[in-house]
Amino acid sequence: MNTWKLAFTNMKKSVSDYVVYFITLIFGVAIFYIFNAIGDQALINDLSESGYEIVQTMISLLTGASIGVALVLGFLIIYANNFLIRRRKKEFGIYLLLGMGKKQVSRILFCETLIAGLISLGVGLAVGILGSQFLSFLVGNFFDADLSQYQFRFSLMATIKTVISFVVMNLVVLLFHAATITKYQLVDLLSARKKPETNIVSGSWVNLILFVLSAVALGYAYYRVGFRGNEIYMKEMIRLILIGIVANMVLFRSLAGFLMEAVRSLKGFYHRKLNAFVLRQFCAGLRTSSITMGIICLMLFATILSFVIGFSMANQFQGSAREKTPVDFSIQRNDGVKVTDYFAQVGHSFDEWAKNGYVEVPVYAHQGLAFEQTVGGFIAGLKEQFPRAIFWGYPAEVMALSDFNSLMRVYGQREITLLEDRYAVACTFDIFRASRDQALQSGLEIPVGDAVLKPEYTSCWDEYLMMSGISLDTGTIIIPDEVAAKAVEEGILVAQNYIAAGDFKATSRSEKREADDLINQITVGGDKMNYAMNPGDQHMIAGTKISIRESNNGLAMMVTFLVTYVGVVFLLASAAILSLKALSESIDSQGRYDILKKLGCGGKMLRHALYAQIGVFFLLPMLIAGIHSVFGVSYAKYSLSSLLSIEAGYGILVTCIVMVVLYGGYMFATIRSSEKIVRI
Amino acid sequence: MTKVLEVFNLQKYYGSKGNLTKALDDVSFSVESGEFVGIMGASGSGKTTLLNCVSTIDVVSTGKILLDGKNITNLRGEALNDFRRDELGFIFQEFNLLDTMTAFENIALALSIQKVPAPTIKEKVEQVAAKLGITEVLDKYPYQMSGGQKQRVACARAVVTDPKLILADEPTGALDSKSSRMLLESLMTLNTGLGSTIMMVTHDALSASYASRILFIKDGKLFTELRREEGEERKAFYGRIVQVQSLLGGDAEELAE
Repeated sequence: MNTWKLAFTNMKKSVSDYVVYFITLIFGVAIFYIFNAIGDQALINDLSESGYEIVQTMISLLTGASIGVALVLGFLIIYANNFLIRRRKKEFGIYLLLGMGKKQVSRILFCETLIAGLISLGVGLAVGILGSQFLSFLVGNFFDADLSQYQFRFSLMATIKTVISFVVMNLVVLLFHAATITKYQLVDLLSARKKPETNIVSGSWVNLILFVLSAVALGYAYYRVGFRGNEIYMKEMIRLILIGIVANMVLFRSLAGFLMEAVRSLKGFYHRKLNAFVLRQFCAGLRTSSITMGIICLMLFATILSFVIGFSMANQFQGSAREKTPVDFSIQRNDGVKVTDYFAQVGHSFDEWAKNGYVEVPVYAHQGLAFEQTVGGFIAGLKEQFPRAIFWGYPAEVMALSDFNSLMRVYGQREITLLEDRYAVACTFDIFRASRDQALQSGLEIPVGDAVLKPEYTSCWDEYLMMSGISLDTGTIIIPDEVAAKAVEEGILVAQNYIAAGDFKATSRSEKREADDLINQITVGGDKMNYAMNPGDQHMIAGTKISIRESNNGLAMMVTFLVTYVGVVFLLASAAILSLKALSESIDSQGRYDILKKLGCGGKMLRHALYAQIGVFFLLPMLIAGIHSVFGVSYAKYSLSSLLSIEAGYGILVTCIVMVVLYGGYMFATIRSSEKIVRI
Repeated sequence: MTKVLEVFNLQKYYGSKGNLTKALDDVSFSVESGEFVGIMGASGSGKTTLLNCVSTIDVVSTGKILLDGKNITNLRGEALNDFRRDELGFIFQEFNLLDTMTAFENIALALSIQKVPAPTIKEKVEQVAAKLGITEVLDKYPYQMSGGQKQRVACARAVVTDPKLILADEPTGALDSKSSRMLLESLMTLNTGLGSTIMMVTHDALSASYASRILFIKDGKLFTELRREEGEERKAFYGRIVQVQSLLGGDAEELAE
């Protein structure tokens, strides 16, 4: 029998050992290919300019992420192979006993690794190529691209990248193997059983102290992050993250001993049915792999955090784009020149492209009132949250009621009614709205010339003046027309900004796109994404339906893909490692289950013991990662709140579904194979 | 004396038609309450098969086994597990202690499986440990104990549930002679002190000499039976056993062939 044949038969025999490993590897290869192939998909070339830019940004981000993904997959391969070798020490021992040289055994292993690598690479690539077609439909969907032009594409670049990465990983594994085999003595290989001491966990006060210390440290980090988030700056954050990581590792190191001691003191529970056995089994498993478990817990935490935040963000980007673009365009000019006049000046008057019914309204700068005065005493909190903002002393922005209402009518938003000595505030930025609501409730008075206005409502009017992807209006004061007219006459209010909004004349998709491009050309020099860097004539901003939708959908897609890519790989790797570990535990405990059977333990009781053992093994790191995430998500929400307020509900839902399907799938499969291994 | 175990015309075949091996061929005997019965025979004689059939680990081909008057050959599924759990105690050659648990926990496990409440468990384990002289090793793990200690822990686990019958399969097989003696003395204690009924399979004459009655099996059939006489020295009994053993090993006729 030659080496190849031996390798093949070996693998066929141990197919059940390899299943988890294979599936994970195939998924890994497929995902790696899919995300590296995104740039080459045909539909992406049909995207509009801004869509194309987003995809380019995304591709460079994904390439960066690929390095991390490759490292994680490499670690998985090495770990899994170590496990498989350990399982087969005895087999190798017998080969050596029969007179095979170590070199030859190494060669068998080499062949096996090669076969496993090639099969998973081949199948993975096939799955990946199919998957990437599906993904490009998704991309097209995000950008409303024309799907009728669709063609099947194969990305050579991505294939080469995938092949190289996996060849490198497998080479590293092979080196590992060669070293492993030559290191062992024959006697070690033949009696490949673990030392009995390693199976035993005895509780000690050291573990108890370590456990309490790590729990306290975690509690402290949780408290700082969850309840005192506003006091944390960069340096502090890094310190807290380090505390969290160390505490997490120490927690897992001491958990086995602590659990043992704690549960053992509950005599009634401990001696019920097979509880003592299960706890011993579980703790032994936890003890021998506390570092791995700790790392897996952190990986799960990272996955949950990025899933929840990422999916929520993506959902909001997409949702807000639909909600916040009722008309085709909104343009604002801030140098006192009317938008319509400027467009006429540059030779593209509104009559040419805007449908009748558009409006243009002035926004006044209040010469006697600074922005900060419109928030009263509640400005302090805002200044603390935005220490670098410079607009506190700028003149307050004011609109006349009828102007505001006509703009609202165009957008289809709610109109305001005001008594003659009252004012209202329109504000969409959550953080500012909170402070402004407080100011309104306190009855803060606003002077406009001779008039002193009282708040009409106790909360802000949550409607926008300009269409935009995210709600960042810091607040505009709406006052009665008569008061406004008088103040304009007296020079207290100066028309500083003009806002024009309405629909295009064009009806077809392509004509609308032309009009949209024109507006963007004139307002921001054509670069829709980066007008901060390339600001056109610097006095205008535009929010148009097409570009807002495209950039928001693009952002949504970018976040979704990035999060999916990294998160799914992390999750797969974690679940696969746990699964391999649990399976090897099951193999080690075969004899123990046999003893229980001889003692007359029923199948039901044994099954329950096995379920409990593996279930807890999978769910414990997930539970602790979940607790980490509660505080992690709340901090992430807080630190992103200056950009957008995250509704985590959607993200949590999607995360739960992904976790149940993937992680639960691995857990279920592990329980199934373990049942077979211990022959219940 | 009541009969704890009655075996009627027990047969056990292996293999299929045309290639049939009779591991047990029409074996009948009975064990009375409080007896210490030894079962002897060479390897392959069927003694372990007999034990497996009585312990319900193996299924009989024909015949009947009554334990306390109840036929156990037609028990199936959970009823079988329950029977093994509640009525039998086992002592195995390889101790079969769980390496992850202390002696106390190993003994307690037999009770936990029977769903005995925790306070009772503690009391019972300590009682039986005191009788077998292993109180000081209760908190130790199997790897910290000597072979003899392990085997006595296994004994304790077998009797702690007050089984009707204790089955021992080559209990001294893995022990040195000193530990063997200690274990066998423990078995005697169980038998005489606690009144346990014991059925022990062995091929070792010295071990067998601790029993009160010995059944010899050869080629699946009951060959003969030895009973230790009232007041007979163990040494003399041992001598008789060795005599029968030499008969069992092969008769002159077989040598002549």
